[in-house]
Amino acid sequence: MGQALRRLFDAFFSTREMRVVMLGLDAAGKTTILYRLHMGEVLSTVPTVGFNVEKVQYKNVVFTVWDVGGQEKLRPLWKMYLSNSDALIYVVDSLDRERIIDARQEFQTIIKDPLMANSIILVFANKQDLRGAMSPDEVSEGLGLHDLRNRIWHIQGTCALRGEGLYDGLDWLASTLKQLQETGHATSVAGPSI
Amino acid sequence: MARTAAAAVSDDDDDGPPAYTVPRGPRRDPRLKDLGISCMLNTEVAALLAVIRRRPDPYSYLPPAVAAAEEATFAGLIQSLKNLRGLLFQPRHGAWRCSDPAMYLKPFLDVVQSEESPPAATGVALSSVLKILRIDVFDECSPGARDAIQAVLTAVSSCRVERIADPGAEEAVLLRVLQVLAALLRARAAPLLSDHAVCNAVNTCFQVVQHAASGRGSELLQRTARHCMHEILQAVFARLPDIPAADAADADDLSVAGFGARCMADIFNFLCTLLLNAPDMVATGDGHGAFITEEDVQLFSLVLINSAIELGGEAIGKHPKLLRLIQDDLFYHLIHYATESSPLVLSMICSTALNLYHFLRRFLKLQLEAFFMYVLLRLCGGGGGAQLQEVAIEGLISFCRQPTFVIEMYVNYDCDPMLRNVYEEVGKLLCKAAFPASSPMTTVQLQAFEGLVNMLTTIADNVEVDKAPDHAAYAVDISDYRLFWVERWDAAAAGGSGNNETWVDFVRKRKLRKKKVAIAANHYNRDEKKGMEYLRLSQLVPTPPEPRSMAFFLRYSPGLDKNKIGELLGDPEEQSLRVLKEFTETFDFTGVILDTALRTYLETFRLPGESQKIQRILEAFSERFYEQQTAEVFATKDAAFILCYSLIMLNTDLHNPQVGVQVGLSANPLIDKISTI
Repeated sequence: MGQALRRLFDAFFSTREMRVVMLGLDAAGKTTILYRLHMGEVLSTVPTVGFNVEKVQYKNVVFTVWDVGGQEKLRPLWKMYLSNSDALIYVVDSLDRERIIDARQEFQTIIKDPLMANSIILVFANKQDLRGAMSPDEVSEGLGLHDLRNRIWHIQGTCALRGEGLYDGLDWLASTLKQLQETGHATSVAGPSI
Repeated sequence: MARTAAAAVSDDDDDGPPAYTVPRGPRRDPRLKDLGISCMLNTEVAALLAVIRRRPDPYSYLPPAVAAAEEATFAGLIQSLKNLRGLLFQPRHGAWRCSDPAMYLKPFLDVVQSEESPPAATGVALSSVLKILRIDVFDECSPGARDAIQAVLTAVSSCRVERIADPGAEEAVLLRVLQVLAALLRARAAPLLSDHAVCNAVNTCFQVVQHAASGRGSELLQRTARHCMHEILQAVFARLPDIPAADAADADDLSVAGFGARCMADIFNFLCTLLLNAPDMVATGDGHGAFITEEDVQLFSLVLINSAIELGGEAIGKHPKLLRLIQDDLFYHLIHYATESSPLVLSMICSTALNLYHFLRRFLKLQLEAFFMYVLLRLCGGGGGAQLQEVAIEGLISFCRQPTFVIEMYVNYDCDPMLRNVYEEVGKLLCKAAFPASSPMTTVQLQAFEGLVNMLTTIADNVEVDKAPDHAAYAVDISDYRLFWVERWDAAAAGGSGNNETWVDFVRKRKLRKKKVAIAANHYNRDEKKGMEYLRLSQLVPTPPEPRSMAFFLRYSPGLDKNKIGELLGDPEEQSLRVLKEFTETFDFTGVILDTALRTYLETFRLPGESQKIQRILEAFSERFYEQQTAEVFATKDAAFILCYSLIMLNTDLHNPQVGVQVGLSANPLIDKISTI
């Protein structure tokens, strides 16, 4: 009985910390997404010069989300920020049909990186409010999500400007990560130095 | 006999060096003057011999052996003096000024440098040298003058005062040293001294200043030391107008001419350093430091700096090294200390700035802007308290009294799109300060009112009432686009092209464009699209928009929101990429190290947080920096780029409060990656 109560207590009140990296092409809406997730909290008095980093708490899960990425010659630098990542959020501009191939290429490169082997994948098909946007299914097709083997992924249609769909995505992230960790699955790969 | 000579010497000391006069007459024979010099030298030799031989107690009996030993100690000195005396009245082929000065100076200098000389003898020898210098027995044309005057400096600066036990005697010798140094720099042969020698003289004098200030000297010695320091500095800088400009000076180095701008730059650098290190100079409990307070040091160095500027005057502008010390070091210190110093120091700083304005304003446009904006206007507005406010307004009014101040400030600052409206700010501030908020009127109000009257008087004096044009003549119309930011008035082009634009028209248009830029920035801050629309309508950018004009708008518009600038620069559109390139090319990173250059660059806008935007901006920066580097530190452009990107990552990791676990800082692979650049 005592053990049961303890487990119940932990389930309700413990907070888990998750490390998340966010990637995506230019103008996909990464900054707007981070801004919307951050809303409601006190902004820093003096914003730090550098990359966007936000800490978001949602349903007992604290997400630290980094906006990293960039061209091939920078990969040796930002790749190490993939270490210890529990999840990847990949943002796609659903309007941009011409560059879905570029997005696919980048996406596949990232998820095949050994440091991301255990990370779960959340795709935001952003800008769903606009006419002519690809549906989440079309984005899945474009990124090649259905071809993935042994990966846990989810695609969520979003409209970052209005905040629609973002917390649905976080819901999925939180519940999936919690479930995996409770069953003993590793959700991240440690980097070479930590 | 000995008693009589001693008494004569004592009288000499008490009265100070006697004034030497040559008998004057309408038919004075040149040989008589030379004979007078011979008599003077003979007197000095006799006095010095007497002092060397003088016993501490004339009545005491010394055993012959002791007397002989003492005589032997000074034998060399005594013999050289006797030899000199033997030469003084012998017939010579030319006048004294045509003789090598070393011949008659050496015996005295030997006494000065000797460690065995009695203190009194050292003092008398120094007096003799002083007299020789003051009456200019030799000048710059005398044979061997260069070596002789150099020898005087060497002897005086190496005079051993430490061995003098009696404080009074030590002080007497030090006073003579100071007087000789001052006379040396004022002598007709002084220009023959080398740069190094002049710096040596200044250094020797400053050592006495420190010695006197450290409590071991009397008030008299302290004041005399500072006074002589001032005299030496004045003598040195008074020569600056006669020194040829830098190009010729380099040639002069080969011919080993006298001292030039180099020692002046060194001295000036020393004074700035003194200002900078004022706290270190203050005496502490354990005896270190020489001055009483920081203020004391600051005032001392500012007085000297002021004199240097007054005497060097416009000639400073011809010597780049000296000018750069003023542009960079001196102005930095003036601005830094002005807002946190005492009223007395602030007053001196304002005087220095006024002098710099008067003599060198052609070279100090940016520096004076900074001084007005960050010192005068800030303190005049009460930013430093009531006392500083009063001093600052007084300083500001001193500028307002300059006959061309109003016109120059308006044209050079208010009509320059890249600089602030200094004249307008001054006027606003004086109006505000003069406003009769209380009765009776305060000192500050009266002063401010006087400033306004001065400004209005200057304007009135420059108005030609008879030629006043009608109102229509003042209308300024901008009907075309020009890259006005860096435009300069070209009288030849204006005349040649046949258009009727005068310089006044040019300035008026410039001012109008500046106003429109401020309005455009205001629009842009609220809505980029409206801002762009206004820019086009006002002909501030051409239609279609040109990257360069947009880049200049982003770079130089005062009050433009830095977040907006960053967003546009980071945009992936083709047009924005071109603007980013032009924006980056407005910077000059030649000779600048990477971190300084990067700070300078990133201070002009707020870097967006999105990784691709950061990448594009840093890539533009790295390209510009790489192509302008002079040290070949980076093998490739990419090396600079990757290092910059790493710096931003590490800065985020270290300082962003949202970061949970710091990754980069503990990652050896990151260090490895950077070190392979």
